[in-house]
Amino acid sequence: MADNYLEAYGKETSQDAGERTLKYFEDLFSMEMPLSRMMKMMPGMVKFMMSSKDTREDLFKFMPQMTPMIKQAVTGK
Amino acid sequence: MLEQVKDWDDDFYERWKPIAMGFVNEAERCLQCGKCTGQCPAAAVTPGYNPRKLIRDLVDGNIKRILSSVELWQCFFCSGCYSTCPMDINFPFFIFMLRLGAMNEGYGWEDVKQLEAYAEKDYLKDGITVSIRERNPFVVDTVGDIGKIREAAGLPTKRVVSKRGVAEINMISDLSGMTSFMKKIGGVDLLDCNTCDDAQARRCKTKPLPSKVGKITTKTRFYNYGEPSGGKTNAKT
Amino acid sequence: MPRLDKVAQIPKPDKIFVFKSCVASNKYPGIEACSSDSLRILGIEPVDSDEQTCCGGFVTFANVAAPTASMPAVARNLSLAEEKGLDTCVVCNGCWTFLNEFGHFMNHNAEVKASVNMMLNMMGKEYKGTGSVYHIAEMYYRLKEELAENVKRPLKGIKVATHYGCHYLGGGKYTAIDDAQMPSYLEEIIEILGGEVVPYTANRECCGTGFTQVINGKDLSLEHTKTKLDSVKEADPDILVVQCPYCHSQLDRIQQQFNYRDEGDFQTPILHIAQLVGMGLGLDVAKLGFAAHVSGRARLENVLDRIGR
Repeated sequence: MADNYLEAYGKETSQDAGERTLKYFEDLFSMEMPLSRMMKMMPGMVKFMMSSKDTREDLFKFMPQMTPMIKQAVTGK
Repeated sequence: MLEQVKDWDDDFYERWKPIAMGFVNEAERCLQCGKCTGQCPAAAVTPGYNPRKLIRDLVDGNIKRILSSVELWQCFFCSGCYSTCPMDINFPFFIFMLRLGAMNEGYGWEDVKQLEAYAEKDYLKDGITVSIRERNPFVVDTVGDIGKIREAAGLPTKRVVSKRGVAEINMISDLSGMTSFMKKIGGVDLLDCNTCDDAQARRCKTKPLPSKVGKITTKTRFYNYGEPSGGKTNAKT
Repeated sequence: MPRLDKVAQIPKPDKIFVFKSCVASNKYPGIEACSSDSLRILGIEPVDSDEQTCCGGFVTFANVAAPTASMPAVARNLSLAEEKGLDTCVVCNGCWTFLNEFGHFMNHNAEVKASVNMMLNMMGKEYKGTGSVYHIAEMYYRLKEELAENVKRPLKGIKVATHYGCHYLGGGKYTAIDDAQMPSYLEEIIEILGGEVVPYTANRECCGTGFTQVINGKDLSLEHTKTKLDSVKEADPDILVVQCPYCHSQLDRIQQQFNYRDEGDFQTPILHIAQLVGMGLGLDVAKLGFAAHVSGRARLENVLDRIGR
């Protein structure tokens, strides 16, 4: 086992660790809605839709807003 | 250790600021006055913990030292440093964000694992983070049934969040990635040297903390600020 | 000395949305009962909602949830009050900072607000950012004239010490009604109720919960709580008043643990400010929920005997 943190990181420099961390935060706070992210949201929305009648109605009301977003995500424009 | 200075990521903080949506800012204004450390409850009980040093290392870009430290996980989140800071640096938010970064590096999962149940079994299931179940037997002996006390006080026996409310926070959790985050935490094996069996011990020889969280390998933290040498002792917990 | 211009900005509404806290509901129900009933006596009708969930502060700062998840959760809870056109009144310091801070953040970040609102629109809700969040102790201080008129059970000769907790004064450096280092509004409320204020050295110290430290770093947490309790014991108040249910739970329960481990004999009853005010306003003893308290039960009975049940 490594004796201290410099050994634990081995040859990796702080730049490498910093780069990785920045990438992580960029992904975490990204506002973009690519297709992959939208697909990840689908199961949650289906679960919400199935939970009761009024949740389904509310979600259907949102559909007109969602269609252009899906379009944008699919075409990438 | 002087040659290590070259190793620091000088512009990490400057690049991080715009990404982190304003959660982390104004650290560059730090005066290094040490008022935060002076009134810190965690610093009062642990000699190694020092908010001033953490801020200095962040601004200088000594990322490896911060992210792999035990000290990062010793903050009490009391906001006392913010209240006393002459430059209005909201340090608890730095700790919060740096802990997320440290988890991405594989540090601190064993701490988070112990807290995951609050989110999964209480917050997302009932909508209430602290449940009515009492775990401490001595408290149960003294207090008895909370439901009865609630009735006597004129409240319903159990506070219930409506089904709709629970469905809504579950959707928020699914859509914002909290659920998948929690699944990652759920994948961590917590091993204890006192209780581990032979099979676990065999695995233990090959890996320090024998667990993998998705693509992240969990690692043990170091007392990076406890000793001037840079923390020879591994953290036990 | 509280910042009076800030106090004057707090409205005296007819109705207010009472935000239920997890610890107050499930561990110390007296706080929940007293907060609603005392507000009613002071002329504000409490309104609540079954749809309101926890603030989510604990799971966020325990790093179990990313801030991206807690932002919509905060907006959802605040929108419940906005739907009714009301302000929110909370009993917990944690709820107060978390709702305030994240609400403030969304109000000043249009991009985040839009993405949060997209998620809320899916469930037929919208966050506008029009309502404010007030701590119940702020409300009591604002309503101190009404409070003075309605005292039915003066706390005559009762020695009371205060503990403000960290997240109200520290976290809300610019939004709280008092100074973070030398606060005094709780003392004023106690004097209005007829009690006697007892100072002690470790007043501004943290209770030691340390958010997650009570679970992850129990040694640190207990060491800190011991310093606090030792100092309280030295001053020997009849009651220690807190304004945060989480501090309440820590100071109350850890006393029993210390007694059990023979690390001292701590018997100080801990009361939330809502319970103290409820006691002063003459609420029924069952409503105060003292049965849920762990430490100093005998002393609490003695206090009730002295001021009348």
